[in-house]
Amino acid sequence: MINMAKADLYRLVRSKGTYICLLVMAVIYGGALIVDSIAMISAGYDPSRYFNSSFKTDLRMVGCNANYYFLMLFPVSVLLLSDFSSRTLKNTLSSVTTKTKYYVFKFIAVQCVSICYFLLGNSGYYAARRLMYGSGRSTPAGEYFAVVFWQLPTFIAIISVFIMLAFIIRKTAVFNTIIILVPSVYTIAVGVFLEIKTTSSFAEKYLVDYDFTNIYQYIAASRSTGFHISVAAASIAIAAAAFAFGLRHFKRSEILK
Amino acid sequence: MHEAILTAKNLTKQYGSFTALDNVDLTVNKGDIFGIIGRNGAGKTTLLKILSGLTECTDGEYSIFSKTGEDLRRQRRRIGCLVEEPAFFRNMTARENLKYYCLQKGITDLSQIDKVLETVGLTDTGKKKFKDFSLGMQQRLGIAFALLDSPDLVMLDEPINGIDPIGASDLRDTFFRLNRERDVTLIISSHILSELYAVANRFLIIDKGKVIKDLTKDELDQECSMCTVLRTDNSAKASTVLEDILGISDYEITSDTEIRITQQNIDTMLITKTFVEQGIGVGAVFESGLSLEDYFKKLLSAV
Repeated sequence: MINMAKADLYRLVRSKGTYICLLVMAVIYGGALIVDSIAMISAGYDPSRYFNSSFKTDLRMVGCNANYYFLMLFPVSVLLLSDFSSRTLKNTLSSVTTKTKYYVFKFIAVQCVSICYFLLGNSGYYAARRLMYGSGRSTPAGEYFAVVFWQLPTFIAIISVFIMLAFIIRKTAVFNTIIILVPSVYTIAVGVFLEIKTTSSFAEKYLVDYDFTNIYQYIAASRSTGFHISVAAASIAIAAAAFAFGLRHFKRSEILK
Repeated sequence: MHEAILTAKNLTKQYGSFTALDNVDLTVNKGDIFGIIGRNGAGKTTLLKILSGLTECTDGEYSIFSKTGEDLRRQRRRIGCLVEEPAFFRNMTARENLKYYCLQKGITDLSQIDKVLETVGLTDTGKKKFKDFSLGMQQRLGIAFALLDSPDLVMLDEPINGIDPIGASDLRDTFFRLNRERDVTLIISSHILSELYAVANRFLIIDKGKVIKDLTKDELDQECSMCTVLRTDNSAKASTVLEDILGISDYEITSDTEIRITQQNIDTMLITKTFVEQGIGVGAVFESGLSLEDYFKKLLSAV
């Protein structure tokens, strides 16, 4: 597995996708920092006007971590889908490893790289913001990273579902289309359920609360610990189910169709 | 006594109700250049996919280096494979692609990359990406990949496809060299018998998933060689006359009524006259011989 990790790292640093992902992250966080600056300038550098609530803007930004949903298409594409689209999977499976080990390795590798992006983006933004505006205008590091930590299970669950789907779909274009369409379809479905009397309470309680974009925001807004724990438990269950289902499917499928 | 490096018994592969491979038996000996020949869709690639571990057989069993299952999986590094068309990362060069596989296989001696590129004649591709390679170059890189880990057994699926005649000749020389100098056993599939004939010493002819013929090069030569066929009413008596009176010893009794004489420049008029004089009824005397293509067609039409 170490050899496979070395090989994938070698490919990762040569992939345009890696740098596009980093560039998009830089643009998002850079944009947030610029908007922050404009807001401060327009507020006349008066912290009491600028920070009009205890919910500081860096935490607002962490609440927007749903952005990673789209960003994480890159590591899945570079590390996993490219093996299918280029059909290089057969080279690996005929000489290096088994289907199970390949699946486990890719699951871990994509998760690790995605988590690295997630932590790099959030910590980079925090560090840059703190450098620009000082500690007085930033959330304490412990509090900030606790929020990031509680968001991680949801992030991992989403990546797990991505990996499972990648192993099932295998085609980059179809995979990307589905991943991009899902949030829109989900939003429309929730809207419909909210309008129907018999399903509105269920939709409000579960479909809205547990919509992943809301989960990130609720965790950032320090909702109850009970909410954090229930989200983490559900995320772990989803990740485990996605892992098991993807592995089962991959083991049963033909490599070369 | 030859050492069997690969044995397969009753290998069967089904995709739903379609039988891609039907009870295939084969033995490949150490040092063989083993040719698998068949039409498109005959089951060659399916057979190689099973042997290379890319798919499971529905029934039957096989061993390579006398190992099966998990033990065989540990021996896979001794096997180099190119199954179906060569597949590499499109935006990487030949060297980068091979370095990726060196890292993946744990090959620390990266000079191996230069060696295999030289072996297949791909040293001058420079920064050219795989996506810009011609079909022949792609095939060569696929063969380079198969040779990367200095394997003892190499399986190549239609390796000459898309390679120009001079390149094909160079590759054949490479196969011979690997076989003779490094004692590499090769299994090569193709749908062109003449192409395999130029390189292999054993042949497995398959069609519709079944083995039609398993023969050595000498046996193939014999099957295809020019000969004089004598149809008589008594092959045993006729053979005595051939040897004792006519002095012909290069012949084969193929049935009670047929003898095939492989000796060239014989006088068929004299043979017929002598047989009649000795009271042997002669039904027919004719020359027979098959080109490789004709032989292949004849075999397949008999299925």
